[in-house]
Amino acid sequence: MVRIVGVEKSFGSHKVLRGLDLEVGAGESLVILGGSGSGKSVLLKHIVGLLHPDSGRVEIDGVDLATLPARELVEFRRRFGMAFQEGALFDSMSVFDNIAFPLRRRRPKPSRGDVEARVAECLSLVGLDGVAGKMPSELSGGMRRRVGFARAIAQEPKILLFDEPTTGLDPVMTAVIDGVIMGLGERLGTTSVTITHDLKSAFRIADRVAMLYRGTILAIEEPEAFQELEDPRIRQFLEGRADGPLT
Amino acid sequence: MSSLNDIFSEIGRISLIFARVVAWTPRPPYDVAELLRQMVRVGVQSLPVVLLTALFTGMVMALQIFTVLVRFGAEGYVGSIVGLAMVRELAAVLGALMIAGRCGSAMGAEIGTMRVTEQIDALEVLATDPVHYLIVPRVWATTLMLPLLVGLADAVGIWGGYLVAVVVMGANPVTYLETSYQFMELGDLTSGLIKAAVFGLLISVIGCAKGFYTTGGAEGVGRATTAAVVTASIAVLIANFFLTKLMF
Repeated sequence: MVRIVGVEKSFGSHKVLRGLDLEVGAGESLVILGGSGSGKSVLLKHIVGLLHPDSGRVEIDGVDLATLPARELVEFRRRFGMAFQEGALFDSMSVFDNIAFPLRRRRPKPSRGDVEARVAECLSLVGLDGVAGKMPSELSGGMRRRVGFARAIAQEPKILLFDEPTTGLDPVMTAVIDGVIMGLGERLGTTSVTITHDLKSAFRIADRVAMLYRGTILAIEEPEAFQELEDPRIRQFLEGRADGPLT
Repeated sequence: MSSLNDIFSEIGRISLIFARVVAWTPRPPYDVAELLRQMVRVGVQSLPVVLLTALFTGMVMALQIFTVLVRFGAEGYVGSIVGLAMVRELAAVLGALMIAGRCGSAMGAEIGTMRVTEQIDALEVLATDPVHYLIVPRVWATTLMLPLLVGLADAVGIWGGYLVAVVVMGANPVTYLETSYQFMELGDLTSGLIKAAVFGLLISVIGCAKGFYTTGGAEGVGRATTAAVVTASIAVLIANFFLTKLMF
């Protein structure tokens, strides 16, 4: 489904990804952990083709994204949904129009009733009934993030990418979002890649957990096995200690 | 050497946006509602600023020219000089500079903000080409509306000149109006309108390109906005010389 082979990426002289290899199976929920600046968001942007590697390949369903012409890449992205760190809501549109955006651009175009029903369903899933008419500027950071999440899942894509979907949310809402991610995997067989710093949430939703360190995957294991790993860098991260090899 | 490099990179980026606008224009979906919204923003909402500029330019032209021509007893030609200057040159150039300040900057700021807040990335992930969705309507709206604005500015400028020459300076109203049109040819008018369309294209492509390639958060948006106005204004003035040379 998602296959990343030897990906390297630099911005100027700063090397972010250093020969990264990763495979995510169909219907799998992979959670990526890692310190700030370890290249997690850059990795997600490679998966969706927003960034292209300096060397190496990113294949989705066997298609190398870098070889697709721009117009085909636009169409290819219909199989993706992505929730951005800060929501990335279109600030000139209401919450309703933000979530309806991917639905209205489908061909054939769904009926107005179908769009309204789906938007209401998505808002209800993330616990935000009654905000459809509001503008993004009227929402709190956590609410914006949840609307971004609702927009990402609106058209039930095959692959979902979440960039810190629960950061800044209260524990109850975190559990709600986790439930939605797990439900999508079980109900629709959606593949998901989630970046998070919330370990409780990570071990709840993950089929496998990976740790990104200095531009490569340090370890990738099932949640229980991951928590048993002895690598001092992983131990420091899991135990949240200030002193250790990561600092 | 590096600044020369920067200039060529800049021209390359702007040309790339223009090429993408050309490539995406004929492709569906056609967002007519967004095109109309942009036409209202660029056209209708810019009317006061463009017409005021034209009015006072026509008035000051009449004031200046009348006081000089009266020395030669040629004050009867004030109308024709003001009219020709407005339709061939001043309405288009000054109108374009005002639109660069008003709309080019807004395009740079708006698209730049969308870039730094990941809204442009979000558009791409939602299977929407940002050039098609954001830039194509802005470029067409500006290219179509600027000639219309300039057409109105021509009329208002000539009327402003009439006001000063006849009402303030006491020129003969019949002579003023007669000479306004006596030496004017259709080509004088159309050349000004063609210039306006080219200026509209330049302002919008440059404004959008500056926004599209914004980096560096709020500070970057500020830089993009300033650069959009400065680059578009300089491009208008340079293009004006070459268009004038080409057309006359």
